[in-house]
Amino acid sequence: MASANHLATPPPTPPAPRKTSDPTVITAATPPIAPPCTPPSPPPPRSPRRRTAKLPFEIWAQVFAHLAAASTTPATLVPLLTVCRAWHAEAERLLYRSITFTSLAQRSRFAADRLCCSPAHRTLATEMRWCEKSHKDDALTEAFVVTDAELNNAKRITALVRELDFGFRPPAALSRPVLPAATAAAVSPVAPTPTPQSSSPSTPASSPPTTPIIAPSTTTTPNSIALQHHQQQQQLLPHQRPDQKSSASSSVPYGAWQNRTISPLLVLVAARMPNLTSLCLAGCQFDDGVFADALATMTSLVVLDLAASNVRRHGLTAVATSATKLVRLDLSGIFRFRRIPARHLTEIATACRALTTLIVHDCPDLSADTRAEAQSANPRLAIRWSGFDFESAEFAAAATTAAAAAANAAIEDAIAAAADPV
Amino acid sequence: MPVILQASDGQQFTISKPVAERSMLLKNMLDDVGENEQAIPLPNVSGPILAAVIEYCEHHKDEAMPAADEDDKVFEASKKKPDDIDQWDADFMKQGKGNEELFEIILAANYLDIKPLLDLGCKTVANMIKGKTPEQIREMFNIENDFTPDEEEQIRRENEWAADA
Repeated sequence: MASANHLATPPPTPPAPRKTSDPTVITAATPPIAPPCTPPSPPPPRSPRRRTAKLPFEIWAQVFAHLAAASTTPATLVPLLTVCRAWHAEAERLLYRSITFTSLAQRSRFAADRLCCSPAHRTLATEMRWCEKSHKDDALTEAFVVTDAELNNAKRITALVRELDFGFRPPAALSRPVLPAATAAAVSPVAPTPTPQSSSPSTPASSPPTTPIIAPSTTTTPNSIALQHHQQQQQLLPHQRPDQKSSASSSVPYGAWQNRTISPLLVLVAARMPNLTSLCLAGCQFDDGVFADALATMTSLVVLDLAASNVRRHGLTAVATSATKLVRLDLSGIFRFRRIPARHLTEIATACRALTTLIVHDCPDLSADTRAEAQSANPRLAIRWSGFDFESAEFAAAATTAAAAAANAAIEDAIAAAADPV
Repeated sequence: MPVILQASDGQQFTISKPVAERSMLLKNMLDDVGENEQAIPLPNVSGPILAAVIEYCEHHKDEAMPAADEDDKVFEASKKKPDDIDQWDADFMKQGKGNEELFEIILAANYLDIKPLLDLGCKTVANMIKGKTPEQIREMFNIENDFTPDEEEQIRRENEWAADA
């Protein structure tokens, strides 16, 4: 049995997978041993050093991470920015890491304050009404110079952004497969536009890539808040334009049509967020050319959501040529009404070798053959498809099977009930 | 076989092995050293704090150990909300514990490598911070403001987009 002198004092840092005996630290250095006691005797007076316990920064960082993970709004993290210098960088990193816009005021402000820093951008910002023209701008029109330091700071901030979501993810109707047994209830009229169309709760964009979600999720995402907001205000006429688009008291819901045009923002995002790995343009309206140019600069993109956006052939070709690092792509609601040739799907599956999840719900134009073709082009790919494809043999067969199964079950129930003696 | 722990002030605690093994540090030590009647000195933990930590470990001694590799991605892993703290844990953290004690428990949990207690402590602090102004936070944790008023104002202005969502 080891003597007290060989029992090493635990190392001062916690991650100690294997204790290494440190001969320089011996128990002789510790205070004299008091008689064992359980429960402990009253505490002795504490030393002054203990009175000023401070948390090391890595523990504060854990506290911030807990705070960030639990909040649905970035506002929670804002106070941390100005507590002290030591906190600032970490709070900033967490705040800008993942951004989901939930209101037009917020988005405009972000665009004006964070994406615009050159005089040309500033003009754009006022023209786009992301911000109001200030007297300062007027006075300084001639001498409006952005210093290198300002420009570098602006670039440093936007370079922190890893995930950007414009906040127009459509409600669950699009991402929910329609099973034949449930068709009667679940087939809702499909609008030809990405306007929020049903009152079903929205599914988080990051739903697990395994089985399709059937039960509506009740998780509250920032986006579902925006959509609820939208639904509450749906009685407002969609063409009602606010007098001041940048005004915080806008009466038009964020999900409204005119807020979905994001081409100018996309230009700035592409120029200023080199580290973007995840981009959600679901439900957005943009110019295909702008989108293609943006994709060409977003070299780190691995997750792209284009569900119910107005992406067209040129844009999809750009996905196949530029976004070759994609791991997850959502094209739900794109292949409808024979708008886009289905060969684009095969093209993407062939070109994006890293792609493992391709979500194409609500895409009736994608026949089983097309999907099989895409699958054979990229064997690792999991295609999650559903479509309101009433003509397909597959649908008919499934519906027949389901009906037969239901009939059988009813018969069995009846037999069981009849056979049950009690 | 009981395990004897000795706090920095010399106080000793006799606890059972399953309780001690909530601490990965002690577990690894016990695995290495084997059965030993000698007290294990914990020079970084005071008696009262060690008593509190042992109370926590006693309560949770029958629970499954958390997966060892989960602290890789704190951000992704901490999906659990700070609000969903178990009632016993919440009471444990509240009972007459000032910031000082709270911090010391967190430091002890960090030192002894008791991940669930460390998480509980961090969540408790996160809940304390939530909804407070920078000034209130500084006051609460006795943090010195090393920003100039101009810097503070500029940071506040630049991040206004996030403040009123």
